[in-house]
Amino acid sequence: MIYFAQLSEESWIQFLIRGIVQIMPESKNPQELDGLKNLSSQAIGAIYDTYYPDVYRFVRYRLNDETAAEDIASEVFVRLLESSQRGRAPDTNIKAWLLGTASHIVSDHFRRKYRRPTEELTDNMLDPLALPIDELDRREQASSVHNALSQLTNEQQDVLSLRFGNGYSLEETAAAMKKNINAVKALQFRALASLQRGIGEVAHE
Amino acid sequence: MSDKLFDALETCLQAIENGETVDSTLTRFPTLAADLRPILETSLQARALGGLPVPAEAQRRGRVRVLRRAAELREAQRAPRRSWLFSFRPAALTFILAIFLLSGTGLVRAASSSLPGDNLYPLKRTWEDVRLAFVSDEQEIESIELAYETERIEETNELIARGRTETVSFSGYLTTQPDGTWTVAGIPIIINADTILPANPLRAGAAIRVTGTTDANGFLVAQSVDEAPAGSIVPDVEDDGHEEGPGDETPDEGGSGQGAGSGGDSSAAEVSKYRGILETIDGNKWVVNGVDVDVSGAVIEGVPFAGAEVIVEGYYTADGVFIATRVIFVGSGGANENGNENGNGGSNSNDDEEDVPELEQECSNSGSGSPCDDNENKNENENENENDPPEP
Repeated sequence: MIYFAQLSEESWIQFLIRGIVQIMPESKNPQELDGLKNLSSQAIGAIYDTYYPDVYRFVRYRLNDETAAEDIASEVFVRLLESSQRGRAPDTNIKAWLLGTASHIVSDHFRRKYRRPTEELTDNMLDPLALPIDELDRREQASSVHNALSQLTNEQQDVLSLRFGNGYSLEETAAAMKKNINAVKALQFRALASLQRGIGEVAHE
Repeated sequence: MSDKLFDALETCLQAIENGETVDSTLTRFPTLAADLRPILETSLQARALGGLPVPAEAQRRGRVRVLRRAAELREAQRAPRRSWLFSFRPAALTFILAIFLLSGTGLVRAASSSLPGDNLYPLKRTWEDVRLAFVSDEQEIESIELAYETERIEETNELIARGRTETVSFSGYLTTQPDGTWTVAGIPIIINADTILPANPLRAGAAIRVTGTTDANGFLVAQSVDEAPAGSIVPDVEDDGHEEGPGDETPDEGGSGQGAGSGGDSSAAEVSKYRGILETIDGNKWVVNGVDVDVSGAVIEGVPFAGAEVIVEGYYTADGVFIATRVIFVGSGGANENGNENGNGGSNSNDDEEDVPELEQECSNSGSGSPCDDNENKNENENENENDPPEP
């Protein structure tokens, strides 16, 4: 804390300006894109730090598998680099591009998994005796919701991930999916209705 | 009808997010309650799946992966010739074999003294692969590979001696000089903000692989530093000081010994210095370029904020934490230019004794540590310089 006392008036202004620049991540999109094309470590690091949590939550919501979620989340950023090198970078909205790419990779992941149905070691397969009963219940329920979720269409899964995984508002969800608000309202209704039917079927089996 | 239902659902979802129960939200839509109730109850289950934390370790691992890929792409951009060679290696190999069969070893001999960037250099490297391909004895392979790795270091020394700028890659043992510079196999290297460092902090004595660009000032500006893969051949080149005036009296063996041994003893640990981006601040625990830095005992010059460019001075403990004794915040500016400036500053550091006014400028522009260190009485000046508005 000593250094705060030593600050002169100018440096306080500097400090404030830096603070303002820091809390305005949305407004520096063009710079972000320039840094991306130049492959500047600093710019790429900043993009990663800004969007990683959103991308990770989005992916993790659809996958009941922490390791796969980690792999896919970083893969999304690797693809961002590669696409921008090939001149196919997102035009303005990096976030929507990242989430859209994440959605594609997740559905690819499922497709591959079904084609080659090997049981993967997921969280719920760890020693069940080591967990308290409450936690077991929670995981079992989460697993049945996950199963039902994976039966929905890609768009339906996306809308639920964004609203409940990322905690986005209706407007943010619409922006990320590049859809209008009414379409998202209808989509989320149908997604929840399908999910309800799916959970019911799992319970009856 | 359905539009109304969709709107009602959205209103209820928002109310639930604000802490209301399913029952209380449904009182607003008595006619739709029967349709909405199962949907809202499902929404509670859907919501319960979310809210999982983002693991910090996963985020850091991913960051290293992404930045490494960026460095690879950058290198491919800068050295298209090399990437061409790599992608067509099998074809090049056959081609070289054909040349060898037709022309004898004349061309190959001519190529053997070529350096990275020369026209014949790809021939030299491919010929090395050809030679290895015809050897089956394990020990002989090892000795040939060692000879090749040593050749890489000699090439780099030669490039530096000639003042040429080329991208090179070689393995060696990391040592630190008393003046804070790092050397790999006797070649002084510069780590700047753009350098990709491994996930684990580097220590003196570590076997590492460096990719970087030679510069006219006798340094290698590192693009990436990585731990040498297990089982790889790392030549142990005697470090002959290599233009490091003050470094002569302190042999590196002592340094690496401490690094490997009880590094926890702060008085015995050697001082090193690096430049990087302050990533996170958690009380006295900072992360700079992915390295945990303990700043509890450090003199801090400047205003700390995440994303700032800093020079940290201190030493590594045995468990890989960097204990900072001094942290200097560098005025923001283009990372690339600063990295190069840093190189120039470093090469000037041998002139410490001459207290010329130029050095002061070095401090503010490049943030290079060495010249500034001895000017304790100029601390106030420095502080003012740190706070100057960043140059465009």
